[in-house]
Amino acid sequence: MAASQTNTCLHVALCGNPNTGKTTLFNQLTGRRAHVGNYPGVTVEQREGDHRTAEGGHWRVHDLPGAYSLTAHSPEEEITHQALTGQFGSVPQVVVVVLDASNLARNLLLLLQVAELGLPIVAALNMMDAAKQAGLAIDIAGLTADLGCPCVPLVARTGKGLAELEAAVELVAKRPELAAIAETAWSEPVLQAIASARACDERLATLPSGGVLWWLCAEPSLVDRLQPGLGQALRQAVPRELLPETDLRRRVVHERYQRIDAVTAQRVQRQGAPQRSQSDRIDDVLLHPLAGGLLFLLAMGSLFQAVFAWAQPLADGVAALMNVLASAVRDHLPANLLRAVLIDGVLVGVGGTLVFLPQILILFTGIALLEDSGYLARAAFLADRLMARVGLPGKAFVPLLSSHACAVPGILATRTMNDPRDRLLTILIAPLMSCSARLPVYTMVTAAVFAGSTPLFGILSLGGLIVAAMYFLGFLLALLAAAIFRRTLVPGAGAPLLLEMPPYRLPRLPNIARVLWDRGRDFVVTTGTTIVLLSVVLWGLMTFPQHGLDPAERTRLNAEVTAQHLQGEALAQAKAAIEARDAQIHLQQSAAGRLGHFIEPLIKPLGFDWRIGIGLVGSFAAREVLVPVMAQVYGKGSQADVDDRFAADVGRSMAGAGGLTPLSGLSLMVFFAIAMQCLNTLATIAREAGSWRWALFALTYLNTAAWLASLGVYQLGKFMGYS
Amino acid sequence: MSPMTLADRPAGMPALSLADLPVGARARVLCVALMDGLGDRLVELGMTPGAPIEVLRRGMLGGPVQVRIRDFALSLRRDQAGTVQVVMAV
Repeated sequence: MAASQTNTCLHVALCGNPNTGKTTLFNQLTGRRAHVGNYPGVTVEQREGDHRTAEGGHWRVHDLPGAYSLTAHSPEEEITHQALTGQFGSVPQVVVVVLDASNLARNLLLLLQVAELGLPIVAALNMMDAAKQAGLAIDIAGLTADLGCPCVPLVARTGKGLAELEAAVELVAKRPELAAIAETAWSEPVLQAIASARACDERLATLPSGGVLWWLCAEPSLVDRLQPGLGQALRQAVPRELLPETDLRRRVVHERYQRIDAVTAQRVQRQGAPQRSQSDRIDDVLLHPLAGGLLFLLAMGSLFQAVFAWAQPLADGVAALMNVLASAVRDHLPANLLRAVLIDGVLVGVGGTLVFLPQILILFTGIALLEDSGYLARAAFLADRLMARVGLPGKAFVPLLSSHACAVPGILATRTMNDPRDRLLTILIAPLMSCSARLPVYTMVTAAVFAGSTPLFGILSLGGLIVAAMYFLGFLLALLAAAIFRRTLVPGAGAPLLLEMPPYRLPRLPNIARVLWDRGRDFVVTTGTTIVLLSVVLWGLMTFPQHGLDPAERTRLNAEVTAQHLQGEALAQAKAAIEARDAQIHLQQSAAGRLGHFIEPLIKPLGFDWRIGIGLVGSFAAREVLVPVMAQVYGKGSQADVDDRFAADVGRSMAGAGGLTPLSGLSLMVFFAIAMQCLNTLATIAREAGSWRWALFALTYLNTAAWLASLGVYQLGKFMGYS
Repeated sequence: MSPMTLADRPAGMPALSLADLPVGARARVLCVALMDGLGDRLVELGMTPGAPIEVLRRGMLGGPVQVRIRDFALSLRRDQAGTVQVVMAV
């Protein structure tokens, strides 16, 4: 007997309402390090792990997503129901229903539904400490008698009560019994509905009454998807007095609550008036209409500042490191194509990936702190009104705010959103937020064509105003795009806001470290691979075919320099000019250069010539690359680090050569404000939205919108007589 | 026992919308008028007829409403709250 017990593995499922500590219990049992959030909805997929009991037994533990009910209003609840009914393999032998002891009534609704399915259950009353603090005294023995299943008080965080839980599960596994509370009689009309449904369809004939009720109460669309043809039979089964079906559903829930209320009235004693918890008192400030709003702005402002500014030195460090690496490669390999592809393709891609890491890690440290402390749910509460106006949930606020620094971490931050459609919508509009990579482009144009204008009202420079207008333009278009997609791509209302505030907690450092490690590794490994591949392709476009300065021409130019008998600085400058001329011809003759010529008819109506066309092709690596590419096109040599002075200088060269006018400059800025020209964002969208189709869709819609907007600006401007 | 409906409400107690209650008001749920899945969800979260409900907070500028229902604090949008009919507790 003992031997057979150690060999067989007991299937134990953990289920419960969101944020009741299932995952904490799972980690305690299995020693695994699953991500524990202080935010409802952290467990999205199913997790499994092994547990060895003190007596040598072997459990396979399944951590199911949080669910308020099995009626399946959300994907999480559907998964939970499917797992419990054995649609992913075997039916669990014991279900541990994790209950929040401080909020027993609502938690018991799920327990009742699980019990009605005929599953042997153990009730784990978690957060007993919080219940005690709230002034609740729970009669465990009485509760066990009323529910008809073992009830074990637990503090999963500290592991208190785990041994008792283990014993209770083993006991139930040996003698599976239906919890008594599930057998309580339903009212006459509900019983009638169950009987008629069983008679109507043989698939229901053998199910326990709770199983039949699940089908009767499920959304019709879900029924049709899971069991084609069953919906019709079910509709006929509902007695006239319980029609429409909503009435049946609500009647069933109401009757369950009547039973639950009868139990809790007896077994849960409230000592004194309802206690206000410490979290409630903190919320008095943090959710205060005025103070809460200001503190929210402060918190979000700091987060943004951290991503926007603090990441810069680190990113510069990464860039410097990549330069060191590039010189090392240059020193150790002969000058050939392999070296060129390594330096200008692979290393650029690797650097282009790693340079985002500081921003991503800083943003996720901030988000993890907000989430772990419990503030993220409050932020969603505070931002909800603002975001709901454009059909987005409050949770979209942090991702969209972060996208103003960079869309890549912003899109990654949408992982905190649990509705997949809201998340997709947020991902699609995130690239419209004016990110910091657009600034060098704005600087280049404004310095070249708007710098000479007289300040408006004496203080406001025209260039500054135009840059501000670009931020505003991106934001407005994001709202517009959200409104359009809400009516087309992801129709219907967004997910409703039904938010339960988790208690405030001190953030746990290991938890945050794990989030950072997981997110960082995932980005570098998965998204980084794509970025490197695309960088190599882009390098190829800008390198082949290799036509530089004609050898005869080079000899002639060299001879000219020699003839001038230049010394020192002047000589170096003259030589650099020849190299710049070589690079210029090389780029113009490359595939990218020809592409620039090729797309000229397409961009001419926007006021761009073929030279800007090359810049558009090249800046697909990252928007700020426009500046060095234009420098090369205009024969100003290639300079790796772009500062404001260099950008302005390049812009003035363009303007001097007639390649940039105030009107075409404005048109170029509008184009950059809207268009997606960032392969990092492209790769991130493909990864996060789960398909390249969405990445290509974003690319198409953004670039079409950019083209139309620039066309409008340029043509209207020309019509009005500007140039 | 049949669920309480609008017709069963105590004499002289008008049915009010949850969205219109001030902070601190205590009431009882009459019914959730919303007949879709969201309405079902509100009922499952405890808004069954007769359940006591208290308004804890109202977000600024028409923001969400936070209520206490069955021992927990639930936040919902103002328009969602507007579909919950209540009578003031006596």
